[in-house]
Amino acid sequence: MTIKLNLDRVMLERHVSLTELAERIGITLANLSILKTNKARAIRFTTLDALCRELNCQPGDLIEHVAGEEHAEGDDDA
Amino acid sequence: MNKTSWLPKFLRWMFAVFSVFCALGALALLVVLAFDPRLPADTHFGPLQGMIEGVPSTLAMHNSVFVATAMRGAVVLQVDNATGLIEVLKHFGLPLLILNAAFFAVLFDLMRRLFRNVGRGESFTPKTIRLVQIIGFSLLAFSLVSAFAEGLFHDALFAYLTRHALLTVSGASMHLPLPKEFEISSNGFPFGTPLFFTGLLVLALGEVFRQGLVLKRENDLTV
Repeated sequence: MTIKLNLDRVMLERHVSLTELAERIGITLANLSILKTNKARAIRFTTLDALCRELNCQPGDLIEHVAGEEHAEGDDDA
Repeated sequence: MNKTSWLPKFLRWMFAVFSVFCALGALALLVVLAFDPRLPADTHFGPLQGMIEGVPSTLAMHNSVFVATAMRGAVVLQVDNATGLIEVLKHFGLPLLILNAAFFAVLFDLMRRLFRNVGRGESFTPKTIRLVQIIGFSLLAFSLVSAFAEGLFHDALFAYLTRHALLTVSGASMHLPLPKEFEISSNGFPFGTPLFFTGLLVLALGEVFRQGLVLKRENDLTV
């Protein structure tokens, strides 16, 4: 099981750059990049709300559940 | 994290200074031990006024006999062949002091590095957790080692005093009794208990830091 963020696809469709979107929703470029590359472990509702507002889309357009794929564990827990 | 208080920086510099002083102290004591100075046989001084265990006392030395008087002469400790006592203090007491000074030099340096990390906002990192664990284990190990070393020192000192010292209390003279058995203790606490439990406490804090690291990693990847 894995949850995928299709942020890059929606950004391409809306012709919005990473820098511009980061500025508009008020998060750092680094954090937006974490979202875009699917490295995030969680997303706040406030961030999701800002993304949907600026990209004029629904949460379902951004978030996708992909069955069958193993969730790749990034950093190990201490 | 950019905003940190002045305290980590202050503590970092304080521990740096303490560490340097302890290291220099250990070095100076090592030099004294290496040179092995001896008290000349005709050394004499006193009577010097001072405090022993909070009690006004006088100390004097003449013809290799050392006399300590307290309670307005009611208690007198006389040690013949005081040069021998100095040798015992040198060969058992100095290494104990060097051990303490060297350990605290290392401990203060570890604390300096810990507060350097905290000052940089790196409180919950694997490096900091390792430092906390090293401090904890060092305290545990040192509590046992120093308790053993102190036991050796007390044993040697009292063995010498039993043979060469006479204690007079209100006119009644007596020789000091030999300790019944070798005691591993530090300042009266078995196995250096205060330091031992401090070490355990620091290790417990290390676990708290480890959990903090997990929470931080979770938070870092929450956008």
